[in-house]
Amino acid sequence: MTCRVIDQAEVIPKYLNDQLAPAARDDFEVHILECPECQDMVELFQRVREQLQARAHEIRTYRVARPSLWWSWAAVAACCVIVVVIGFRWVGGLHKLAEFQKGPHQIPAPTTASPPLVQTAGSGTSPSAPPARKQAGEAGSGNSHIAVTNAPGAASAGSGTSDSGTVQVAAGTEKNSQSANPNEVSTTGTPEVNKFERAGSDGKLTPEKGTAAESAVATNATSPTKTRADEIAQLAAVRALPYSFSGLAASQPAGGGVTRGSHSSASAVSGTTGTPQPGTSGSSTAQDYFRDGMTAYVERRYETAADLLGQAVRLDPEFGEANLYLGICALLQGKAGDAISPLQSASRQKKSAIAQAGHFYLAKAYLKLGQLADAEAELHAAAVLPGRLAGEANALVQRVHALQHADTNP
Amino acid sequence: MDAECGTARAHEDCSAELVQRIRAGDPGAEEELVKNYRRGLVIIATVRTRDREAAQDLAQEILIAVLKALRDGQLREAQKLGAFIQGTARNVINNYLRLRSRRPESDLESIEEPSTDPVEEFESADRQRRIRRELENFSPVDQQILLLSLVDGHSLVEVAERCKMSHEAVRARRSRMIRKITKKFGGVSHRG
Repeated sequence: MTCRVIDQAEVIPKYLNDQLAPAARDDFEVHILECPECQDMVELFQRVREQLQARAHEIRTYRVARPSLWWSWAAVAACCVIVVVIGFRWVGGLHKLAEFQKGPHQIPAPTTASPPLVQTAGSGTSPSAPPARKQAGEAGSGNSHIAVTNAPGAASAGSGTSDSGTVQVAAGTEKNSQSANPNEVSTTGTPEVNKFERAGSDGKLTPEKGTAAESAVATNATSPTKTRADEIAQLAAVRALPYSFSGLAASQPAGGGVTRGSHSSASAVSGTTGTPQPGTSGSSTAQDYFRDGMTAYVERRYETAADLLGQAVRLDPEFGEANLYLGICALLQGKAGDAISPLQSASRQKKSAIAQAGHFYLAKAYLKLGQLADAEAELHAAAVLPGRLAGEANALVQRVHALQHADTNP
Repeated sequence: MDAECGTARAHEDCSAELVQRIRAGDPGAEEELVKNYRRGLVIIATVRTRDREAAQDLAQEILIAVLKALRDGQLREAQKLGAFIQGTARNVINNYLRLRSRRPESDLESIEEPSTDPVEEFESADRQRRIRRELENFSPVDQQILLLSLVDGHSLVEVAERCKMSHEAVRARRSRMIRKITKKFGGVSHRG
């Protein structure tokens, strides 16, 4: 028997209580006869035992205070509440993080009214932007507007032919997570402002360059430092109106005309023919220019599209769709002044969808020019016409009205 | 024990040499044996008889019996001196206990004045007082754990049931208390 075994097996208390087997007791006694350390321990335990025995009655009558049941339950409830609160905060943090990673430039709507999704074309893409974003920016004409889009949206834009064979175009648009159709202009979803223009000190809207993160900070709608110019810029932000070539056959130009056989819509969309040169053919009609222009439009080559659509409009000044998309191209290039005339022409069209879009984008042009009253009037006109932009126009009317009211009553 | 007799082998050799010297009539060897084994014998006798006074006498009686046997050469395996002394002690104590059970409790003639050393008595009382103070510093639950395990002889499982605590909690508490007591009073016991 060794001291280690004695310690681990707690032999001493058992020995003192006469709980060891006779053989084990003999072994232990042989050990303690020759081990001063164990003698010390036995003697100490013996003294402790005597003291405890002397106070045994007192010790046995101790009432051990135990926490009441009520307090136990209260502690459990408090722990549960803390866990739930921490869990909610954690989940909320994850949600915000996911939203931020999904689109660092997304901004929550400052009011209940939702502005349209924003898309401006230009070459001022941030160097740190992802490839899809750069692709969107390449279509610009070199001005200061920035085409920013999420990768999924960019992937859908210019994707070419869909499964059904219909060409789905959402040039430069962001894919709205709340919209099943990526080509559809969101009228109810949360606005996704990518980059917008900020008004300068002279009140005119000037473009701003910067990274997406800077944009996110600058456009934080919930920030108390948000300025009126930011609000206007947000309202004036333009997203390319989606265009579907499936509707082109039904959309005949007012002037009609002979179609040019060298440029089919399919070939134009596939992008294998490169940039068409309809102007070189004397047989080109407004429809040809429009088709080629829209091909460039869906490929986000807005400058080329504007040239071709301009040709179409020159051939047929009442060509509503050509005027509409010409105006939108001008807006996407940041030429709000150039957009006024074709959009006014489009807004006079009998076809309500085109007229509504014409009023809507005309309002955007006025907003970019800082003409809030004109913009409000055009938005009113767009809101009353049937079409999918009615809801968005309605929402924008309220916001523009509020801004005007703020101007008159600062 | 002597420093030279630290290991088990060396200890057996020392025991054998001591036995040889006693058998040879060396008075110093007998003193050395008494010095080495007296305290252990007192402890054993105290534990077995629960009587400190009787334990002192019994230890003396045991040592006399051992020396007589060693002188007469009754120990065949000299290296097993410890086991021989323990066996002698067991027989002597058992005899004492047997006689005590037959003796009436109220035998006033057998009561004698304690003949202990006053200094030793004072030191013993001081140790007892300090130990009591230390125990009183433990919580009531801890004191109950010690009482149930060291005095009543309950196992840890039984103590845990009585205290409505987990077995591990009781073990941890008891170990902590014993460590504390050992650290504080482990070195103050008598050395033979």
